[in-house]
Amino acid sequence: MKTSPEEHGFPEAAAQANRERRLRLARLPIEEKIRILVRMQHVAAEIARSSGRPVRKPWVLED
Amino acid sequence: MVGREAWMRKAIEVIRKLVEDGTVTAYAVGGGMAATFYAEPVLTYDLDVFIILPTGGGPLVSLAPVYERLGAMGYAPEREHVLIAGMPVQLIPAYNALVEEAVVRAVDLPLGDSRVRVVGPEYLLAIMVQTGRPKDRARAAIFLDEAAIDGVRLKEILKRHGLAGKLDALAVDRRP
Repeated sequence: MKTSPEEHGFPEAAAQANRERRLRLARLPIEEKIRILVRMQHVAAEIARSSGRPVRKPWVLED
Repeated sequence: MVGREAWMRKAIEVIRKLVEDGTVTAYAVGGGMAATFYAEPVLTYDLDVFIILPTGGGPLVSLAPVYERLGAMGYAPEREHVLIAGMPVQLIPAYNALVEEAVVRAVDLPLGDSRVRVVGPEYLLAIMVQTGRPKDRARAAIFLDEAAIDGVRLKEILKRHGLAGKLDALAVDRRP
């Protein structure tokens, strides 16, 4: 069974860059992760809005 | 300036009051927010909080006393959530032995200048394995790559809860 991106033909350098980026994100402080999470909610809301799907309201954080 | 974690700290303060006055025996943050403590941020809209009630578990658990107490504190339920500081918090009674153990053995993590009880990474992974939805499969794969997992501890938990061997089936969904 194919289990890794490389076995599926995904370029090793790109897979490695993705892995490193995810590990960098994983090491961020929780406060920064929450900021990223809210940004993801806004992006998801924008995509939902433009495709006519129900929009879930992003969190409104004090700053 | 108020820290970005302030909303969550407020929610945890409210939950902690429920523990202090005996409405709830114990709590621990679970779900996507707990996963975010250990790995890259995952898209989630709720703060899932597992709770143990003084009445114990079982199929007929009532959250009525919890909602009554929250109502008295000024936090009214909205469908399956309670809005605290504008954030949807979902209180989930520990629904089986694995989740109950995860709450009891939760870890105390820093949150701004406060602390929060969060389900440990091995328990979080075991719950993903047990639940087995597509999003749990995806999160399990991320977790195995990114979170610091104690393999021995994880194996013990999986074995104890009849989940040995199920992790391999989930872990094949590795992302590029």
